[in-house]
Amino acid sequence: MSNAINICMIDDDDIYQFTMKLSLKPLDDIGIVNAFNDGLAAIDYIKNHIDNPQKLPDIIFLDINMPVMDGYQFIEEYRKIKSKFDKNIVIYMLSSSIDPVDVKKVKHIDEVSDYLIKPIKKEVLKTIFKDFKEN
Amino acid sequence: LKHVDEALKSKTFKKFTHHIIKPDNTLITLEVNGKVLTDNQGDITAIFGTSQDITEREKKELELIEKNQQLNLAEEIANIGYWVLNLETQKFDWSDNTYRIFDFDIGTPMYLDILLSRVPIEEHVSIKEKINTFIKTKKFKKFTHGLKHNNKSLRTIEVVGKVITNEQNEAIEFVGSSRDITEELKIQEKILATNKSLEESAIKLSAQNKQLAEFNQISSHNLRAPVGNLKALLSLYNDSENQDERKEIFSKFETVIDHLSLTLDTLVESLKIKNIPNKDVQKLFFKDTLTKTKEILTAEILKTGAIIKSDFSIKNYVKYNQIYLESIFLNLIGNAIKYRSPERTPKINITSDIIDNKVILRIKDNGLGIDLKKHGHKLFGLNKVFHRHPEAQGIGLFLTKAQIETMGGSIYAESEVNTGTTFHIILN
Repeated sequence: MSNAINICMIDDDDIYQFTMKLSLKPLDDIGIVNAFNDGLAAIDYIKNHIDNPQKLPDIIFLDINMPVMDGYQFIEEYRKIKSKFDKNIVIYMLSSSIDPVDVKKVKHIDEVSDYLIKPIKKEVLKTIFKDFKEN
Repeated sequence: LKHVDEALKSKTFKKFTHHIIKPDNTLITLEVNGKVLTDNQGDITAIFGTSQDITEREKKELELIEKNQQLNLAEEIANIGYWVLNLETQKFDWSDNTYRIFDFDIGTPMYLDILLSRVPIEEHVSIKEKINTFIKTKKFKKFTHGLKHNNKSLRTIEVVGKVITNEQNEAIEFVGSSRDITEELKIQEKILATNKSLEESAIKLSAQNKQLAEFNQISSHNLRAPVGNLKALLSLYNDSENQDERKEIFSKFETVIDHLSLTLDTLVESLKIKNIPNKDVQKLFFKDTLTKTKEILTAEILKTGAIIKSDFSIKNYVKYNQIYLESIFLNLIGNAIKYRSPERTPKINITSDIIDNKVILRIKDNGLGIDLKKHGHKLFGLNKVFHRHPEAQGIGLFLTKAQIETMGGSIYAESEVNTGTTFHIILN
């Protein structure tokens, strides 16, 4: 159980959520998979489970463009609460945009491990999990 | 000797000049003046006279003539005419070129009244006022006036000058020059027109640039997402061995393709609006457009109990493209109902206004509101949605903005979360 990796997907694109869930299926050691349609819903979830790190995600796949609270605004809120829980969450920011402005902006965010362009290939997903287990 | 003979015959002495060569070989000119003396019988008794060296004077006179000729030439070339106006007699002293500029025969005695007869009548009062002011202040200020030539062509003359005063410090004369600047003005106008058209091109170009950047942004964000989804679905479909799963994946294809075609249709629509501006403009009464909009939205209005009020007393019509105006009304009022607050009955207030001769339309609601600090920059973007609303597609405002801009107007919003939103539309 402690080896299981909790996944959180924050994206307003339901089709993307569907493909991600299917892609995760064949992988081993997947724990809780949460899907949220915007940043605010995800922040609310984290706040509600702040004392229960086992329920918190290990990896967050965060979309940039979303209603209500977008990816950047999520990071701002996340910064305010990250000292309150005992877990090192890995965040990947993703978008279908190949706009260099977005890429550059994301590279400057400390909390974010990398910028991924949608759709995420199977190989990339595998590498992400392999990296996570090794660290 | 001939001159002496003549003097002897006519018994009068006529002034003459002759040259002599001095011992140092220089040529000098002498002017001889004389008188014939006669006795009572009229017989000549003596001729006496003086010889004066006028070499220098002659030289000076020649120089003066030459200078004058040069000056005349310069006047002609520069289209300038010099003049002196005696303020007491109102008589002008004109240079030859002044006559040419004002199109009078050279040498005609010239008075202020005669000159004014060539100036358009509506300028007379102001010119006379100017002259009086110059006399009073003893300062001549540059001015321009119109001038009709004999062939009826209208010229523009620029006048500069100076006031000459006597010892009592009274203005006695104006001296100055008049210049025909008609051609110059024409060139100036041409330059200004060229400048204006250059500016217009620059504006058009930067608008096109903006459009391209927008299109770039749209294709980078809005087209890549569904295409990416299609790719992901295809790969999952190929990997899947479960028939039920395959069926489920396949049904998602339909959703993405629908989304993709809607995005493409919207893009094409927006390009159509922007590139073939529909200038089919007619007089439209706001009241009629609102009635039509309410009819279309009948179901929504009944279901939500929305109260729609309007006041078009400041301006009750606009000259606009009918399809666009109806689309603007439908989109904005439709949005006001769609993004209503669940806690309040939707109230929508539509008013017209005129600011700087432009017709303004305001649509105010008491709905959910938008945090413009966070979302303001993408309010009118394609596929941008701001609420967790199942019907939000992010197309309405994108097209509304394109329609308003193509008619030369603009749109902006004021909003407060949970209080409401007001859209301001500057129609033209």
